[in-house]
Amino acid sequence: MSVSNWVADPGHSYIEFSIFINGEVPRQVYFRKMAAKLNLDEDFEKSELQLQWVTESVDSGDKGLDKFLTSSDFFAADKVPSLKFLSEKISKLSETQFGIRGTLNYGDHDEPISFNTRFDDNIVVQEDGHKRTGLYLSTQVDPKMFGINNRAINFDKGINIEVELEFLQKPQA
Amino acid sequence: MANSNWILDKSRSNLRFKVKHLLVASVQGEFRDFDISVSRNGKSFSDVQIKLDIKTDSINTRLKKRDNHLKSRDFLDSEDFPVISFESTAVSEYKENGYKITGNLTIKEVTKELTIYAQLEKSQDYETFGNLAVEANISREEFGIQWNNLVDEKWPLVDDAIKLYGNICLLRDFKIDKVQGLAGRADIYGNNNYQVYSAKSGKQNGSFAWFQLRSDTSHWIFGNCTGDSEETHYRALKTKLYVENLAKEYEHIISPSQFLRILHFAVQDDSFLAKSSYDNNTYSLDCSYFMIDKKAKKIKYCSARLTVLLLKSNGMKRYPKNNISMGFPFYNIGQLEDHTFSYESGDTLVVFNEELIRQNGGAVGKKLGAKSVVNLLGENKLKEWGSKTKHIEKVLNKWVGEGTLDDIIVAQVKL
Repeated sequence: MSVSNWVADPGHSYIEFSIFINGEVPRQVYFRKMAAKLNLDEDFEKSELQLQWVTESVDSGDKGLDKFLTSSDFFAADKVPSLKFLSEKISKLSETQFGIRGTLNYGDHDEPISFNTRFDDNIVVQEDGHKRTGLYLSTQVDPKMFGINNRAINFDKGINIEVELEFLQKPQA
Repeated sequence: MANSNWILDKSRSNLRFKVKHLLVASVQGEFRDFDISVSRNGKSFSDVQIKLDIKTDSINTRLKKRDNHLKSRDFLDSEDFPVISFESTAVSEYKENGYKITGNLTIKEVTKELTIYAQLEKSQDYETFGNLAVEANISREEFGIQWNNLVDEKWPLVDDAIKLYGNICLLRDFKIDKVQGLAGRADIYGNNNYQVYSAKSGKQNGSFAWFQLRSDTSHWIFGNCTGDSEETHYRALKTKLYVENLAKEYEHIISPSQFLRILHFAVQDDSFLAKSSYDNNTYSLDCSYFMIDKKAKKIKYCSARLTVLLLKSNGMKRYPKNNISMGFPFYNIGQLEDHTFSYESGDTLVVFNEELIRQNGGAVGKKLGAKSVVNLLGENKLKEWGSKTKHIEKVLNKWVGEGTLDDIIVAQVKL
């Protein structure tokens, strides 16, 4: 089985959290700095995914909210500069739907986490030889798993995480 | 609420879109500047009329080069077509709190019918807030936006289908005349358990507003905001409604400092709080939040720019900690901390806005000073509850006169 290595194109990829603050309305925040690697196996269930994003780069379009999210009340960006996800097991659910289970590292914490994933196995070859493929992941997590104990966050609804990744592979030399 | 209008609460709304890039992943973006007006002609949401204007120049996909291309003639042509507009023609409920909003969407002078699917989330106080989670699908080619490139002979660089979605938070648009009772000048409110005195400035622009919250529970908020006349009143009401909703949601689960931190976000939103009269680039909110545990006879509080006194039969205690400004974004918000003190039955909790008294002085430029206010309250504490009002009113009105720039709030609660 051949394995190909891919990196996410940050211009066409994003990691976004939906959090519930101030009551009834979800607030979407994304991370300006992120990176992802995919070791893509012909058998997708044997592939490996790495995901990393910088907590300080959180961007909600609201500077006050950003400051709150990077503070010790939430992500504690000074102590936890980045979050990392490493896949451990990929399971096929249907033709294009997969479950990706892995570990989310947040500071001193390692927490198990599972993403619902869509992978269409579409690979586009550009004129210059670059190849592109995509992956969509989503899940919902309890803020407590990040060690976030600020009760201003609506715990009932959790944090929705949505990840859209467009991977790029350089032409073979 | 029949025959009323709703306006956009920008701080809690967004309008976003997704479009497939090479059909392998979606590019996500948003319009940062849009406005929506909702006219209600009956009790049901089906009776509303909606008008949405989106500023094409505000498109943001977090990549400037791409944004510039989207604003160019290849796509939205922001220069010649600055606005995308939608006007509803019919609204029907197709499931519980789910509505189909049919109307005309106009992009670059091409008008097509569009159906927006909206889920109405009614807040606890639906008469003041409501949230619409909206979703619609658009074919850009139908509006003449056909720019594309095929990669590998079959993959469109930008898909035709665009998913539009977002949250539209609506706030009931109150008329000014409904606000007068909440934010008047030299008003005196109270009963045998609490009293609030406010002395507004005279001819100058230091208008004054205050709110008091939840006297029916053990949670109290006192606050004011400064600014200009009617606009201040209007914003004060919005702020009051915002705080009330916030408190309903959180009063039993968060601490006073956390409450004020959340409120701090609103301070930076110009749709809520009044601009400061002495610096139009800043916003001002003086606020304290108290949680009174009657069983344990303890008060947990956090205060921003208001001073807290506990008047006891044998003296008074002053709590100047956390006497900080919330009016300036990010300024000292880290200092918001919870404090707890004990009280006895018969004590009086007093809050007043010390900072502004010190800054702006009275009618003839004489500063009343925090010490004077404290002494005034001290003198007043032994008077019968019902007669406290007259004494404070007399002193404050004399000080305010006709020309002062400033306002005063003094609020007392019998414990």
